[in-house]
Amino acid sequence: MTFNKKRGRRSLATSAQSMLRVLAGVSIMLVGAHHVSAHPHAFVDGGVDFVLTQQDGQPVLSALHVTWLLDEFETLYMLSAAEIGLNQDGNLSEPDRSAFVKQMHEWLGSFAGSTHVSVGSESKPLRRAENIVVDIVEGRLKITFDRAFASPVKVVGEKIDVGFYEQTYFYAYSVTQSARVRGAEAQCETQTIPFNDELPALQASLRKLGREEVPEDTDVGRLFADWIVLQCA
Amino acid sequence: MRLMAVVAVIMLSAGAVFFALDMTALVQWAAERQREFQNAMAGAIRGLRTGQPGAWSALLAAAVAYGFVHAVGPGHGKYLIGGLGLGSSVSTTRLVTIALLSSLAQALWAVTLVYGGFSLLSYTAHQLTAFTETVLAPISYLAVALVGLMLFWRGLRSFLSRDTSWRRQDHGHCSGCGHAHAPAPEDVAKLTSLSDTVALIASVAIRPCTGAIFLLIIAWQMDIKLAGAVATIAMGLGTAGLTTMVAVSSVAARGVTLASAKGLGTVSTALSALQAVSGVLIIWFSMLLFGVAVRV
Repeated sequence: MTFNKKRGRRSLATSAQSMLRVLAGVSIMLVGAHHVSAHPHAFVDGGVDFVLTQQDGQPVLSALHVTWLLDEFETLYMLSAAEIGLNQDGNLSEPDRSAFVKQMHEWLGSFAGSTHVSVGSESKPLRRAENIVVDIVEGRLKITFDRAFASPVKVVGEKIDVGFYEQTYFYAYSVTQSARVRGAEAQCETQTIPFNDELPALQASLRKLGREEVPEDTDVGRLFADWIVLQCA
Repeated sequence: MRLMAVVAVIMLSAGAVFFALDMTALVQWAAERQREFQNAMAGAIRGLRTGQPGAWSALLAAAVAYGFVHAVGPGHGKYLIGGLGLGSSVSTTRLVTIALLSSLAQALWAVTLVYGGFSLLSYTAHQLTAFTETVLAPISYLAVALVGLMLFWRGLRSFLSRDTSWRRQDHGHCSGCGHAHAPAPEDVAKLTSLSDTVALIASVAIRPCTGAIFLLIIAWQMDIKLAGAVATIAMGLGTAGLTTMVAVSSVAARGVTLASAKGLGTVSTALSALQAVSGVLIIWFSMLLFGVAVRV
């Protein structure tokens, strides 16, 4: 058998181009596998309010007031899973509301949370949810609750970042309400920074997400997060 | 030498494509559509409860659409079908049939699991979802990985066999010696046996879609069981729509590769190499998903 080297190189180049096209197609088909964890099943709108108190004459951040507004399908699922139905008005009866709040207390106790607070590189731990209130708003479950900080956080001259996300991205959270500052008097400003996949730094993270890093990344939701910033003078 | 070139081209191409593509926008788009369609399902379910006309058709349409866009996200069936299309000599018709049956079997298994779990085993909704995620999902990923291993092994075997024949031919020692040196393309992983087909379908179907589980739990609790079951099958058809596209595309892609390889006289080699590489990719993705699932 003889082998024409020139023809062979040309054929090899053609073969390589074809295979590249093939593998591009296959990679597109396999898109999901790139984003192993990036696959929300439930969508939650809402946001946080900042609760300030006075400590030693200075305002400190003592708690977050969190609001969730679940999508309509997740609303039906959560209620069904809790074996609770809506009444004729499409709302919750008082016994059902109480029963659901009780279940939410238990569930939120084991939930890693939708609010991730940091000052600089230091994360600020939160206590479990309290003062849980549930309601139905236009077919969507609205849940509000407070989460106190393990230790009050100094706010004057600080920049406090709150990531509104769930780590595994099973729940896709979006900030849809402006953050307010409650409680003690202070000159504070809040700002919402929505998820923007065109930011260069985020693009780099997402490229990493789309490659080998995802399965090892237990904090994938952070890469798709909306952020809320509190700054006080 | 040519064998090494083919393997190198495939591996380098795979690496280049893998690091060049960014699918974030597509995944984001799919997530937004999924939100729309699951809200539409919720509206239709409420409509069914109150006897709204058109609620049935609205639910089925939303379920089909949900199944399609949800399948754009991560799914073991999709890359198994894609890998098989690329790395085996299975026909388009057969692969499309496997894709369709896998999705339907997955939907029927979801109905059996949820309705059987509630009625026969008195499971709670949380137990059912936990069972799906922590038991069935890892089993399914391992099963898919085994299929990948089978593909890899068959590809490697035929690849090595082809290598031997080349060496013999190159040295002019073996003309007309009366036995086949290498498998022809049509001999490589046809996947035509019943056991192959059942194994492929089962590996996908073991793990039901989370969205289907949620829908069935809602349907059971809201006492619209028939609508839930039918909508779940409709959702499976939607999923099949996407996996069918993957099946057709992957078989077409294989055809392009083999047509190019003909010019080089390396059809068998290319198919064997593609099969082995596809097997490795299937194993890899399965084990990634397995790793995520067992960590939950």
